[in-house]
Amino acid sequence: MKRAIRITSAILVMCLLGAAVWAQPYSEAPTLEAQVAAGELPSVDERLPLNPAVMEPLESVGAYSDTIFVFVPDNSPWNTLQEETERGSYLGYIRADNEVVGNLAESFELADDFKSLTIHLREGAKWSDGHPFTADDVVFAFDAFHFDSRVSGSSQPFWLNKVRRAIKVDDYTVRLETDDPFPVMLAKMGEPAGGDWHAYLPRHYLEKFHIDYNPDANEVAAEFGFDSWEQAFDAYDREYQNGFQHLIEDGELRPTMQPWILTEVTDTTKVHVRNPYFWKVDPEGKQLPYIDRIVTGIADPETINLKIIAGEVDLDYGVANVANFALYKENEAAGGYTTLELQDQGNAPVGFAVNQTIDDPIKRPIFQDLRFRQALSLAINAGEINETVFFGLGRPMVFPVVGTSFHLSEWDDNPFDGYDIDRANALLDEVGLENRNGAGWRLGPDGEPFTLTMEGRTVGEESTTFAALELMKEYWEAVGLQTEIKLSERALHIERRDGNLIEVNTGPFTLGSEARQYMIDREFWAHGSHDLNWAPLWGDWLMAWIQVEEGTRTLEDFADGVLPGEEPPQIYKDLFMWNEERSRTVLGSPEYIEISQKIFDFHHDNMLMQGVVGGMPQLAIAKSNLGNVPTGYFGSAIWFGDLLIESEQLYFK
Amino acid sequence: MASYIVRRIIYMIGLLVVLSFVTFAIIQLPPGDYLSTYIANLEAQRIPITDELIESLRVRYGLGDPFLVQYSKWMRSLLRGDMGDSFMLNRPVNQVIGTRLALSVTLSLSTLVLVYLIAIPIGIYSATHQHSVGDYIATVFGFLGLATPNFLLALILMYLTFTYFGWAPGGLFSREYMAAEWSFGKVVDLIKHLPVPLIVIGTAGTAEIIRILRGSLLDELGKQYVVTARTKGVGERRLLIKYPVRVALNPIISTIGGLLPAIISGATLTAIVLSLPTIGPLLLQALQSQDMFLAGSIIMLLSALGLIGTLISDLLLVAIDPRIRFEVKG
Repeated sequence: MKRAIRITSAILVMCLLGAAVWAQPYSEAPTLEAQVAAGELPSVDERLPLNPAVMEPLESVGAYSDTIFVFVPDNSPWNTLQEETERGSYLGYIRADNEVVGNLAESFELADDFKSLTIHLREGAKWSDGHPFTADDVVFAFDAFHFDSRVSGSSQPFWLNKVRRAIKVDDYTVRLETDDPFPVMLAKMGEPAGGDWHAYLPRHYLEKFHIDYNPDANEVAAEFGFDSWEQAFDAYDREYQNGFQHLIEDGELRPTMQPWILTEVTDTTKVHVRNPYFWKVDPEGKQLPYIDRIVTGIADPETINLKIIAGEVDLDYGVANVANFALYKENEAAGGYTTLELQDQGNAPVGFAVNQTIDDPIKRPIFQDLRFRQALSLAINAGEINETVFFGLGRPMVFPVVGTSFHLSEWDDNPFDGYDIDRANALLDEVGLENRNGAGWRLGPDGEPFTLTMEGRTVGEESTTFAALELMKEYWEAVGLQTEIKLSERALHIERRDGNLIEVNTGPFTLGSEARQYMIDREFWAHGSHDLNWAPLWGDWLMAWIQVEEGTRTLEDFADGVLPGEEPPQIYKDLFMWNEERSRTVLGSPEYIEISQKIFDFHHDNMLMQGVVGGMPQLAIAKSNLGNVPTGYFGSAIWFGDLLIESEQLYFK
Repeated sequence: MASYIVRRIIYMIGLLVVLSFVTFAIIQLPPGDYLSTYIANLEAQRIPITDELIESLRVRYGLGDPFLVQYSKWMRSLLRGDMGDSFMLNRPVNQVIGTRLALSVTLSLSTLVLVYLIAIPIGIYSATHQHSVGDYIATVFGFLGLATPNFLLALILMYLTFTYFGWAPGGLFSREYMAAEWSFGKVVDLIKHLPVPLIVIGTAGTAEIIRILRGSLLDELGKQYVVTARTKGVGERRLLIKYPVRVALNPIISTIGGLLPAIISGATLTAIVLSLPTIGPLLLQALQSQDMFLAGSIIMLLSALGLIGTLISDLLLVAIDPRIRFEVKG
């Protein structure tokens, strides 16, 4: 009965919209027209869903274009414009006003008790191999992947970690259910959790590898050269992440819902070609994407910079950095491109965090003294760093938060954003570092010189980082703190961080969009992210403790039956729980704003993570003849301002 | 002679086994393993890492096994001619190296030929015309070439060729040919991209050989046998080429041992700066991400080539210098 009503109302809506919908036949790229004419592909109407998603172009409706050339420093996935798993294929889309709307899915309904989310899929949407995309693909992702402890997917429910059941209502309707209120799952539809690999998987392609769906899965695995079905299944779901050359070589091209299909990977290039079944059109009914092919070259970042100024790079969101700002500007006309300054995040390229759980009886009480952290901030001449290292593009900002739905006014004039050596010296005297030796270095309570070591990563950091650290060292030495800089290779840095060996951890202080923080950064606010971990031991304890609290593990799972790390003071447990509480509120609601305010206020006052220069634009390079280049809000996919969502509308004028 | 070669080859095999062990151990020395790199990558994407995920990956990559087990697995597959899979590229190592090998050899061999063609005549000229204007010019450029770091020269040349000739910087192909099949156009494009790398990689080598040849030839020129030959009326040119130059080439020939591996993975820094798809940068990348099988296999390949090269240079020395003889034990 209910279904009949839905269908009737759907017909009614269609009749109302009829004129607009039917008067406008869908059209497709010339390359596809040729294939249809040759009988290799069904017609565009058959390939599109009954009701395709319509993308409003940023500037104007575009023209079908040939190839876009981009360059990246390595061939890992997640580089700009070559995102394999998710690009443009999230079920939902988070608008700038935090409203979650349909994308690949048509619409969502979050139950009033926040315990279930109903997803309405687009009828007639198809995988890139032409197979229908249905509720089965969503249910399969949960049953065969997330809920199945035999495959590595079982580690992933974190993304939608409270979802306990995925129920097929009909072919195009799925309901996700939780035991506890979990409103965040709606917003998660618009980020990776709502994408391929997390919210859905191509069942028709993967089921032959899974023993529950194919009793001969072990034989299939053996055929493909694996020891067991678990291994084969993991290789074909997860390997999708890793460049998946072997999928191409095995002739097992993995179906996708993205605008482009990866068809070729070498260690110097990647090629993506358009997905003929992509389910989005522009307002004129032209099937997206506009661009036929993405050719990605892999080159050294310095070479990419030269290629940028030579006009060889059509679009860059990842390599261009503020250190080369002048270079890009100088060559704009000759290279035929535009340097875009995207101002949408707090984004402090250099931040630092003082380890609250340092294993040193002299240093720990001082590191835990707020006055010490305030002094470190006041001693830094952030204005000078901004001018000399960042071309004055940012501004001094200890706590780089902008553009959130809670109150920022009090933070706009943070007294510790200032530069005041006298106050810094006075504060350092107060915390017990008043004695100095003959060379002018401050001495600790034990009479030995009180030294600080800043640690950062050598790999993947922009050249600006080191310049800024060098200056910070000078400023801190000017107030008598003997400072060292130690840069380690990435993996070593992680080992040292997790081993609680780092005194002052340095790294970018990037808060991302509000929606993003709301969705996944539980640890970020509770003990520091991977970049700025400010309490490794408390973090270990909290992450284990919450698992025991939630019942996913018991004390026996841990060595000696005790929680690892160190139990934090009550206030930090509260902080951790505030984040839990926040995940039970709806993004943008009054409760959400209140709890967010509490978390942010705590951090603002306690200076556990400090930015130095914030409000830094993200630089992007776009050839002048490229149309519909996103320059502001990027939907929910705010990783690094890349093009996960909007790239299908790019075209060449 | 034959028994000498056989003996050398047997030594080489033993040495390779020792080298493989040391190589494998050294690659594993730094803290962490490929997983640390993999996890760092995931973390950079803010992907939550759980213990289960780490454990499943560890099993998958066989990283949980003790060192000796990992080593013996690797050795066994090496003997079958299978160098294992590259973790980071997710492809068989044979294939990864294969695609780069041809380009590496092309580039290095053409550089080598260029270097010899330029350096040997200049070296001879410098020595025979010591303290002449030509010698001074060669010396100045020689020292400049030796003293300039190649990667810096690469950057400068890339910038200059781009600014003044408009040549696309970096790589061996224009963007249109990057992902294209081999064709006449692609070969032409490759040839157009060769000069900068050839000049950059060749400069230091040229300078070095000029200096070595000049030095050793100067030593020889004053020797008795040269004077004797001259008094006996041997023509200057013939005398020069037949006697002192032949001897003076000794130090150059004895470096062939190092040359073979260099042909495969030489000029790594330059290759990185110029984005050349050769073996050198691949090795660096593999070491950085602790991609054991890839790094280990490349190093094994280089070691083997080094040993073969040494053997070849020893044999060549015998052929070219009559004073060198196999020691006959007796």
